[in-house]
Amino acid sequence: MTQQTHADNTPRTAVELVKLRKRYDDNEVLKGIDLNILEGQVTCIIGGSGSGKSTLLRCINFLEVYQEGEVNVFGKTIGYGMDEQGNRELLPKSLVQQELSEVCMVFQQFNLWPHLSVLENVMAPLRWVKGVPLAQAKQRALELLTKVGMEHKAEVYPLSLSGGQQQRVAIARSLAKDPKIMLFDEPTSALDPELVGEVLKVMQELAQEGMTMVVVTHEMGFAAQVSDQVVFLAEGKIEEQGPPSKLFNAPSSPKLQSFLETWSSRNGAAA
Amino acid sequence: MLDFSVVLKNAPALLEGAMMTLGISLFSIALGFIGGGLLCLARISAKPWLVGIARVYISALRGTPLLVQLAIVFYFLPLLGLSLEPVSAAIITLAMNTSAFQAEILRGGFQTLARGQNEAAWTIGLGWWKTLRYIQMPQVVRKTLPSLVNETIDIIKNSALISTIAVTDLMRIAQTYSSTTYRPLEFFITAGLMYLLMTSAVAVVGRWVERRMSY
Repeated sequence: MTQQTHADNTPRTAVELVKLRKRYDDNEVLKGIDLNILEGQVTCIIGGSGSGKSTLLRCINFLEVYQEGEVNVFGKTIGYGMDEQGNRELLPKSLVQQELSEVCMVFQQFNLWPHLSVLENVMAPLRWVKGVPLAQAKQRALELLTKVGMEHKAEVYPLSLSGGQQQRVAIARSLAKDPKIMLFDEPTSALDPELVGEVLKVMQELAQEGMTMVVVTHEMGFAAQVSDQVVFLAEGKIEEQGPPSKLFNAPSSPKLQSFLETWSSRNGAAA
Repeated sequence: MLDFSVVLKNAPALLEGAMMTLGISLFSIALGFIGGGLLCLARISAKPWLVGIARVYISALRGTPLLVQLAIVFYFLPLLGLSLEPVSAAIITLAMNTSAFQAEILRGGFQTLARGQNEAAWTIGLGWWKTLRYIQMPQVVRKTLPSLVNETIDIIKNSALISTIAVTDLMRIAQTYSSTTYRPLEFFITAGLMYLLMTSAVAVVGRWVERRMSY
């Protein structure tokens, strides 16, 4: 667990993956991932379908149980502890959730709760996790909805909103947890093309405010403009990683070259 | 010819019987909802022994006639030193019976919940109980409300069987008076209409709640 002192201006490590391996029965999806994500930085994870990029993201907040290696968040190993003999053992879920109190996730399918109004969705982490009093929670939730431009829909139910609006509410709900790290699992993949921009704009603002973000995405434009680091995943391994200028303009791996060619031939001008 | 004057003369007794039917049925439904909820949680839990117990209980109570269950509770339990008033025996049996059906109805509701609902709850930091209380149960109850209303109507109708263990419910009153007045048709037609009135009322209330709860 490398952890810089932050007396100097070097950002500390927010998420560290060490030889991370994940299997579904005999099918190994992540084959030893080593990755460092610094606080305040935006890391985009790109790759074809089945490359393991979503699984990698879901291992970070233990939606997927990994078998080998480590996921460390601010130096703390997620999901596993040691028993008396020094063997690794799964921690109870409630403890894992405490370890993940600085992490939140935005999903491809938004996953808003349909029986709660927009405001109630955003208030949920404040009321039910943090125990904030009602009036204060309401005020904070409205602030967050304003931030994502959705305060005018506070009283409606999520299913009456467009996909882009639902995703912005979902981002506000995640922010209500007050996380230091935000995970985005293909946040714009389920959206109609004309709705992608409004969600990316909110994400870009978050990045500018210094949120640590890990984004699995097919939006190469966003990855090129906003990220500090791009990771290209292929067949469960990191094939190439580095600053976006390097990966998009001078990719060295043949797999990445062909991935980018396919992408740009399908999307017109490359990023 | 049909002569309902004798029915009118005994209307208070019939009404009392109807109140008994309604009271016992609704109380059993409420108890059965609590029991069915717990049973459903056992049935969908990750612990094999809990799943096993729930499965055995559910198949036993769904797979045997209510009449048999009533007889066992009423006649057999006293042999074990547990003697019960007819009304208590009726409520316990109906509640146990409907809990098995309600458990399966609720389980169906849980199965329709998208996995993402729970994943969002997990990432937000809601624990098992709060996820159940605030995220799952409200959605499951709304989704299964039509089936739960149906089950309530079934229980009201099936409760006529408790007349066999000497509960003075609507059915029992109708039987008693038809044999003493020799006017069975009048009493059973009236009883039928009263059952219909009760089940229709439940259906109307159910539809109203459904509309109120829709999102």
